[in-house]
Amino acid sequence: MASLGIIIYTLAMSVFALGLLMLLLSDNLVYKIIGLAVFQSSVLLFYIAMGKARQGLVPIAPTDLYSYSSPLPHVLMLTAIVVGFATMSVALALIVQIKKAYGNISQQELTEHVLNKIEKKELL
Amino acid sequence: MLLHFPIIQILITLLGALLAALSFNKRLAYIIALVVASASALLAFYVQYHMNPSQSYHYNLGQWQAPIGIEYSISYLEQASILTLDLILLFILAFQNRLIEQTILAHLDQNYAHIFYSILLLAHTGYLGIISSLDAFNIYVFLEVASLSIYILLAQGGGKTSLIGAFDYLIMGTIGATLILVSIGFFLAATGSLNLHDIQRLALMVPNTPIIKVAGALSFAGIMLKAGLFPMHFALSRAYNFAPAIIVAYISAVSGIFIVSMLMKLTSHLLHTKLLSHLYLSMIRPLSLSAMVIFSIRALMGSSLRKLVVHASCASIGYVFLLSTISSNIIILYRFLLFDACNKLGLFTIVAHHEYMNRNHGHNNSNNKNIPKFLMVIISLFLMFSASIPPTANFVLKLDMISYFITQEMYITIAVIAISSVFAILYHLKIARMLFFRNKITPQIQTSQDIPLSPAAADNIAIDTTSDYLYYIIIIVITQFSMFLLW
Repeated sequence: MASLGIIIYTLAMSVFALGLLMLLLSDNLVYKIIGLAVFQSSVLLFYIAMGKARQGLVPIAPTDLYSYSSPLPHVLMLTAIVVGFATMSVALALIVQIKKAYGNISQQELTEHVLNKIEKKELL
Repeated sequence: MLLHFPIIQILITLLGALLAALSFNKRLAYIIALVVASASALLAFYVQYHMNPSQSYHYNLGQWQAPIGIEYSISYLEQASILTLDLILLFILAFQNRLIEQTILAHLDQNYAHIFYSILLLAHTGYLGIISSLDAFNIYVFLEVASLSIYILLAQGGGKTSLIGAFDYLIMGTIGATLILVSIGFFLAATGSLNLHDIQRLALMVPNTPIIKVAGALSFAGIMLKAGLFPMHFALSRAYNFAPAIIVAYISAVSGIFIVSMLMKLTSHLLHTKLLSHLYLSMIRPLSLSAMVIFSIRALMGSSLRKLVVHASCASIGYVFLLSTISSNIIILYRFLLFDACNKLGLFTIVAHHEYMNRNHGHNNSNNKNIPKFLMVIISLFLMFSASIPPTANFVLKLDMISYFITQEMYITIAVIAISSVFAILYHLKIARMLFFRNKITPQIQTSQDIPLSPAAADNIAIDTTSDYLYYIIIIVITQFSMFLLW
């Protein structure tokens, strides 16, 4: 059963890496935000897996309990979910404004636009 | 009352943010923000006055004792940091509000302009919480509160490119915050506690375990991303280049203080054991020394005032990380934070006024007001202080830094400080040349804000912003003189 913990942590870190990859390599800004959500979800998996005690039961109405899983990581991750939701909301609002201003949400085209403006000395 | 102070100062700004959002009136929201900033600064000054250097205030939320409950704690130096933050906010609100109205609020839907002050106070609440809290997860929550507010503030100003800068900084900042969250998870797994004193005590019992090393490394990586330390500076410098300069003045002035607070709380255990401190210092010192030299050179090569000051700001982040590794003389670090906050606040405010006065490039040249001569003298004095020219307080601080590094036999660090100081003098000379010796407006747009002024508005604004210039320069100069007298 010790290997099960390692498997879960490995899966969590794989999701972490995949989310980071999607976040950094996507050209579409919305795909980047989806990658951000996947990236933050991996942290939820990590924390909740960490809270499970070996042969621990649910910490509700104890009777003959000798071991229970820690509820603290679950509580922390409720807050982290809300924080992640707020971050995604701000990011999506920025994407809407970028779309209105530039007409596209491609990272490459936006960067080219900014670099062209810098070359023409229209920007700093 | 003093026993409850650690939580009162956070609640004041949080309540102010709520009231400003519910005011539904721009002028009323401004008054609320100003009153809250003044009350917060007065309270911080009162507590600082009554504190001894060896004293600290502790507060347990809900009277749950640490390490079970969430603890807030303020030492003498942390209280000085809080006072500095409050004074920075008060300065921006009291003396730069006209610039805020004309560069930021003028481009917002006037029905929602009051939300700006609410978001500014929320950002301030986040920074105060980071300094006050001793609970690791609580620090993460305050960090995200401040960060989300800052992303929104950076996107303002009516310019299209500020949106791109804010989005890039959001991506990098969120990656950094998530790395910090993972490191907190590792600390929780290793020690079973979220209280920072408890974590540091328990971490020192098992310092060489991989989990403690990984937690410290992840914390450092996350803080590096948030702070924009070389080579992770791209998102931050892009955001600073494109955002309204008056907002960047606030953010850059407070950034050093909150970086140090995070470093002290999450990575200080790495300095207490020989093996870990060797690894940590071999990671942090080269990066900070590189930042100091590279950005000083880039600042000198900067083609515009904004670029120059942004690179100077990135160089000072190198100083902050370098001085945070000095555990035996922490006073030098806090003196540097105070002076650095004044310098960045002043420099970016100069940039904000300079860009704003040059915005009406398409109009009659008679609308361009040259800087009055008395103001030139005051700005020159400030630039002398910022450049650490003797006998200013900044110069004395640099001497103290070099004396300390001589006692530690860190000669490479001394050489880097000397080189970056020389470049600092040169780029401050360049700033003076850009401000005082440009006789005509260049045809290039100096800011990312594409919306021009009407000629009538430009006339009024030039006179009004001159008086703003005067107020802020006087405040900065008085502060620097008083610190000089105290050294």
